[in-house]
Amino acid sequence: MDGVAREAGPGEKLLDVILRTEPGFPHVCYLAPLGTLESCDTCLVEVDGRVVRSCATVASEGLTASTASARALNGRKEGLRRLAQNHHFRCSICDNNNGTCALHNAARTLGLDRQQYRPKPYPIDDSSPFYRYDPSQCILCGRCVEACQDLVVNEVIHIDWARERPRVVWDSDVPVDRSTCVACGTCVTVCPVDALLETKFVGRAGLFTGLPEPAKLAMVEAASSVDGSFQPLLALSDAEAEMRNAVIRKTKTVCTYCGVGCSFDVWTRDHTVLKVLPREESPANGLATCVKGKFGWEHLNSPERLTNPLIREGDHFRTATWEEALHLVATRFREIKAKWGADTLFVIASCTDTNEEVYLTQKFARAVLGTNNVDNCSRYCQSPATVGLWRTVGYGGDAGGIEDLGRAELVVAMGSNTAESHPVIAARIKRAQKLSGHRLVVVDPRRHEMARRADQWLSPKSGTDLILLNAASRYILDQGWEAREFLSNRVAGLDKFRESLAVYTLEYAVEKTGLAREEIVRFATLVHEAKSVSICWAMGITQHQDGSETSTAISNLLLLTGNYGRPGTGGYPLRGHANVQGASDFGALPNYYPGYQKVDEPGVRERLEKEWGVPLPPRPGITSVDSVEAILEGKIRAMYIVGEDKLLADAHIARTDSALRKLDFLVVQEAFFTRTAQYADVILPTALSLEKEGTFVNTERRIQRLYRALEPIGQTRTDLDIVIALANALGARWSYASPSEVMEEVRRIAPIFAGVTYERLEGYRSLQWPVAADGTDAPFLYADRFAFPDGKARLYPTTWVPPLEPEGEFDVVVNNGRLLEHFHWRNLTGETAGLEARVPNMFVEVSPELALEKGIRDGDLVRVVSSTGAIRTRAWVTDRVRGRSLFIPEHGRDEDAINHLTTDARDSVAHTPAYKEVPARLEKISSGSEPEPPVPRSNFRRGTPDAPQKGIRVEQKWQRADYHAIGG
Amino acid sequence: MSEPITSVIDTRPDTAVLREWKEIWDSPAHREALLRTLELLKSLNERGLLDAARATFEGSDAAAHSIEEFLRESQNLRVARNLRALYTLLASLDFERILSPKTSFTGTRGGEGSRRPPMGLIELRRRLKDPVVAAGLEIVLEALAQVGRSRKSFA
Repeated sequence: MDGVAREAGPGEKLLDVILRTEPGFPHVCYLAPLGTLESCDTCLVEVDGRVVRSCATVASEGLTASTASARALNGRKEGLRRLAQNHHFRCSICDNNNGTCALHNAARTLGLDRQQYRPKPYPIDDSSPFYRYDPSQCILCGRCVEACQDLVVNEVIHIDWARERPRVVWDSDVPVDRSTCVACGTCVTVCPVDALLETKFVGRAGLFTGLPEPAKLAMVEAASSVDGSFQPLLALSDAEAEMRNAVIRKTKTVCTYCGVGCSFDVWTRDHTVLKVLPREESPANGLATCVKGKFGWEHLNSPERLTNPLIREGDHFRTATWEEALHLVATRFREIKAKWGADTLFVIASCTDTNEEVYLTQKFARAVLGTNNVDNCSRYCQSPATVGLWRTVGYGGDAGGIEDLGRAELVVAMGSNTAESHPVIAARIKRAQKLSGHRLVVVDPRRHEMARRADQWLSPKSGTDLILLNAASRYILDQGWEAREFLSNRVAGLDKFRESLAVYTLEYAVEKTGLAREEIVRFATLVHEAKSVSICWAMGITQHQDGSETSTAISNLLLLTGNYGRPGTGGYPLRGHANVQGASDFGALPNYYPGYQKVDEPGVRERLEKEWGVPLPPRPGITSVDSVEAILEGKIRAMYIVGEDKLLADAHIARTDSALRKLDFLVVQEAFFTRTAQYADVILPTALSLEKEGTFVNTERRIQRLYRALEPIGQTRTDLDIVIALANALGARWSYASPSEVMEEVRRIAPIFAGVTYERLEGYRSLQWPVAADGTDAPFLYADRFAFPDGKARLYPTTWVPPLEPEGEFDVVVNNGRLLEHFHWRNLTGETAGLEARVPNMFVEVSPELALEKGIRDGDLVRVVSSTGAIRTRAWVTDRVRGRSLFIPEHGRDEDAINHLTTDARDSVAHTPAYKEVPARLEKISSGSEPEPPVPRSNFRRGTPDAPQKGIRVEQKWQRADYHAIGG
Repeated sequence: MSEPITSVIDTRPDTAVLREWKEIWDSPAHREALLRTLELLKSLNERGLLDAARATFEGSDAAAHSIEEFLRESQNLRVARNLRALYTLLASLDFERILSPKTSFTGTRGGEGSRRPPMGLIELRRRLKDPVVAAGLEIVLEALAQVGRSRKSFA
């Protein structure tokens, strides 16, 4: 290269080789995670006498290249000149002038000193509340299209190369808010210029970008009227970009919503989030986000936030000082403990708290209050999955990482609306299917996006997934397809397992599941034929009476077919909250200390007593679900609930309401005035995730740091500070100076975290537990041995528990789950105007056949009645559901809250409520004014998708009459 | 038995600072000034000028560094020098005087009859021999050549 020998890896692109030593080398369309697009011609080099794109040239042995030849340099300049026709350089008033604009940087490097700008005849599309598209600034590099089509595979946008002036279009050329765009924001993230910008960012990023438009235009005109080089103006804009750093902070954090654990830089000005920018090195998500993580941060400044401690006084709450509130809590806890005993107290740790906060919360319960009655919300969702994995492979966590779901030749997604509940994981699966030809099987009652994309969609009767799995296992054994060597060397219990499958014949499975024999055989065959199989599952599996059993059956099937211990294999329960995995990992469980050390295992308690310097209760506590019954029986008298809206979270609201009323004393530690807070005696206001330091564990056991981006507002404090203050008010004398000190303590007591230090987690670095003392982590489990003393996995016979089925007056079954736009009861997402506007009301999905039977049309007001209660909502007639199955989003918090309908049925092992087994009755109350779906036209579900494509179809650009290859 | 309640009464006592502010606020003259100041601040904030000021104070080092980096490049340093020279040149010229039809080359105001006749070849040759004029012409020619080169590279 330019006369110097250079080394390159196999298949490495010439551009990457150049960038290693010359990071400022011009390139605009190329972004490593997107691959080669070849649309900008700014990275041209001369190779063996030919001018070529370095992004599309593989560096090979003996290749001779020149970056400095006149032909190469002139070629790059010509490429840039062409781009500049599509983009008006006005950097000092450009919100994207932040030092990262690829076009600006190329112009500086190549010394572009003038342009022949040709505005495009299209207006700005600012119809979306989240981002806007300015065609006149779009350089048609195609990054956004590649990201949408092939990285996150939402397949909404493309470039219409056939127009006289090409542009990016949404679906079949409709405005953004009439399209199928899910607003994941990945297109905005990868846009190298200001064509796609976050709405919140527009006019707020620069020193002059907030000026009135006429003033900005006058500045642009004045600058343009100066004939000659605009390099000095570019230099001035560089200076302005530097000055922006004084008002904009960029802080690495981890998303507060689901369990994927997306990490990104959050750009803040004062107390406002301007931009969320994931980075290539973001380990779980790369450049991808979902609409909540990218745009859902308005809750931080919501006027609804609690900012002062509140104390119940008669028929109202009054504001109080922290000293007063903490003193009252300590006094009442002390009194109740003295009168009724420590085990009448109950603590709930938050799944959106940091690991350090969770750790201290459980320590507070055990070492300060003296009870093991501590739990977290995994009890409501994924505890059964953990049980299934403990039984069979030993660790209650994902077998590998998210990237393994992209590696698997076959992914089976069970009881998971992945594209809405874990969209960034769904993107990996969709990408592997689209670009690599991997297979996808979806087992789910609803025909959601993943079901539509699946190579096989199975919709067994509710609560019969275990039968499908066991029938497939038996069929595989009958065919002799089991992985004999793997079973022989690495797995115990085959004979008993084989016996346990005797009942699961195909005939039995057909009868119980309602599936066709061929469907079950095909499923088993797909599993058998794939070289690597991963199964991910979510609450459609776990929230049944047999959730633990079905989770076990999933793991059994994987073991039977040798699908553990290799890349692309294993079991992947998809965790639902930002730190629900960590909440359990760090000990907020009634029967486990941090690191899954059993409370009743000899020696463990004694070791912790020594570390913590206090005697600890010997008996395991009760679960959060069981606490409701215990309150009603007078066995629990006081509760300390951190970040959990228990009234809405527990099944059977009427019963939970009775229990909360009955408590002698309730402390709720919250950011918002939740429904549960209304029952409290004391409310302690908390900071939110961007206002904290600490760590989260995501669904793939990945521990990541989050840094404080904002100061806590008002009188709020972090949960860490509050629990320390509370412990000390009860005489604990805790003196943790920082979250890292807490982590130091954790690594001393929990072997799986032995090597976890803040230094090893600096920035975007992360560790997947178990982490050895020397810092070696475990991205992939079970390569050599399973987590049992003999290193062998267990095939664990399972028992089917018949579900609650529709009968008599309750002739339909209610399913429920998440929507993409919302999280839980909308305490957070409901505060972001754009999210709330997309789904302002809840609804019930009704199948066309049931709607016909009941005379129900879109938008009709209906009542759904179960044995425990009723809800009123609007109907949406859709083929996403079938037959007598209804679907209701879980985000209602008033009369539409789903748990008005759910019952006391639960999993007998994990005690997780059977939220998905709800026999009910559907009644029409009144017709809507006109048949209209109950979500607005701007909702992506109402858009009409256009045909997907691979890549950006740059060859169509090259075929245009006005395109001429540079350099021949 | 705890009924769910939603009513919150703010019972926070006034702090000394708050009391002091209230006293100021209660004074009509102060209140008027405060309101105007707040309006001004609000307006400045909305237009981003507060941030501009903040950035100028807090980010000036980084900005200066950026300019310094720019000037480190020889051609950019030349731009700066040329700008300075151009500034000096422009400041020394009085185009109004030079171009005014009523201005004589001798610098004295007069009527039509006082205008000098067009420059002849002999006079042009004489002036080209003037080293000062020759130097100026060389600059102009070099500049024109540069314009031509750059036009070519981005034609």
